[in-house]
Amino acid sequence: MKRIVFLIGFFAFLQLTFSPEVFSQGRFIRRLQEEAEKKAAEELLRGIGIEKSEEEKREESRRIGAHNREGGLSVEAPDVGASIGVAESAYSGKDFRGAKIALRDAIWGVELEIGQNVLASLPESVSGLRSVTDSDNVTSTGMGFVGLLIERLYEADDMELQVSIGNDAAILGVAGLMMAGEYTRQQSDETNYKRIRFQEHQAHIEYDDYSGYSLAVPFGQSSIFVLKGVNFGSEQEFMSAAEQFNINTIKQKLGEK
Amino acid sequence: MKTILTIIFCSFLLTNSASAQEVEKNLNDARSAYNSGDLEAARFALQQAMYELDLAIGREILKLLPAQLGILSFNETDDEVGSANMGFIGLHLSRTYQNDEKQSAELQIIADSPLLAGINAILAMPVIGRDPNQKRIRVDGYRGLLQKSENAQGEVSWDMQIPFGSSLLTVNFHGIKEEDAIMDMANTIPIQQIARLIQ
Repeated sequence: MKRIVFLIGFFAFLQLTFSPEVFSQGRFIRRLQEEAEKKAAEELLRGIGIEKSEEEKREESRRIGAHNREGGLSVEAPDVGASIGVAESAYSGKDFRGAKIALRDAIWGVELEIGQNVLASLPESVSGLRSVTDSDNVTSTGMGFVGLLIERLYEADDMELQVSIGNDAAILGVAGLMMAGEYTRQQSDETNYKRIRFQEHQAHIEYDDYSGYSLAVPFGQSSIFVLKGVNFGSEQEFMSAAEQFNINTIKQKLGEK
Repeated sequence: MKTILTIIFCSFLLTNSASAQEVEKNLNDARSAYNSGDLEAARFALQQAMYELDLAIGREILKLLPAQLGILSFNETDDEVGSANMGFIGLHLSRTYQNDEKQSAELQIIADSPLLAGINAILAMPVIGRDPNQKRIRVDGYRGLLQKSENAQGEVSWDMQIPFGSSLLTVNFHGIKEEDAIMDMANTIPIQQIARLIQ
């Protein structure tokens, strides 16, 4: 009997010691410990004024093969007129590939301008939150499925407001249709989602404990306005911020009907 | 007969020149809309030009395809060229070859679709697992996949897939039993020239 108990105990010990979960947890804890030690050492060195010299940094970069200089790509908007000219001459010379590349450049150039115009029409500040112009973003894949995406962020203290405007995306046309056709979730006693009218457009608002409030307003033939608010005290507070955006102005800037 | 041939030739020329004019017209529209500050109209005209350009490329590819595929000949009225102009789908075209003995081949090309790059990578990989009805082939220097299937009535069909860049050439053969005959037909398709037009 003793022997059986001993064997069971021994196998249980082996199982616990070498099981993948325990092993991986052990590795995870060790990694955490190493990171904490490294961070503490860095803090300590910074505290007593011992920081790595430029030469040491260069040496470390050489050792691990990492990039340690400032850098980036130059951002240049395509010249729309010139791109159209290139497309014309490539097409007449039967260089179809060249014509296509030039056309894509021209479309991107025009979409970039449309996006910049929309961003310029948005308010500088909303309910005390200032726009973070560095994070302004205009994205276009040149794909009808995805279309043009314009983004701006507003911040103040722990509050955040993220505006995203999608345009000329086939899928957004479907979203609008679904909204109009009441195929989406119907209104119910679920308090975290409801359909509303926002500046003469059908829209819906949602609340989530983690991400806060979000408002989605499909408009025109294939556009959508999405506003996400973090740390707004109430729905009213969030909606009064939302009202400072004018859907009709955005629509006009996008050339939507 | 001469009159019919002349009419067909003239209508072919007219269609092609109409398409060419459409591209140029759309580019002109785009320029004037852009210069007048109407960005949405400029974008629309440019997208239309892209669409027309895709169609023009498709027609050029059809011209490159052989009129005869072995013992099969094509029917021009069945030729199809289209473009979703959506990046995801791009240009697509098809041509059907057949004869009176119920033997046929359907050729399809889906071009300029980034979605295909992933599929093509898989197709270009060595076949994993040995399926006796599947084999890797080489046509005009391009690697591809040939798959044989047979239905309950003993009718044989072959699916041939040849990726190139972000494009995919597919040929489905029906009613032809011999693999050599399939390969001889496939080898008359000028894939290199087609790829040069698309890529």
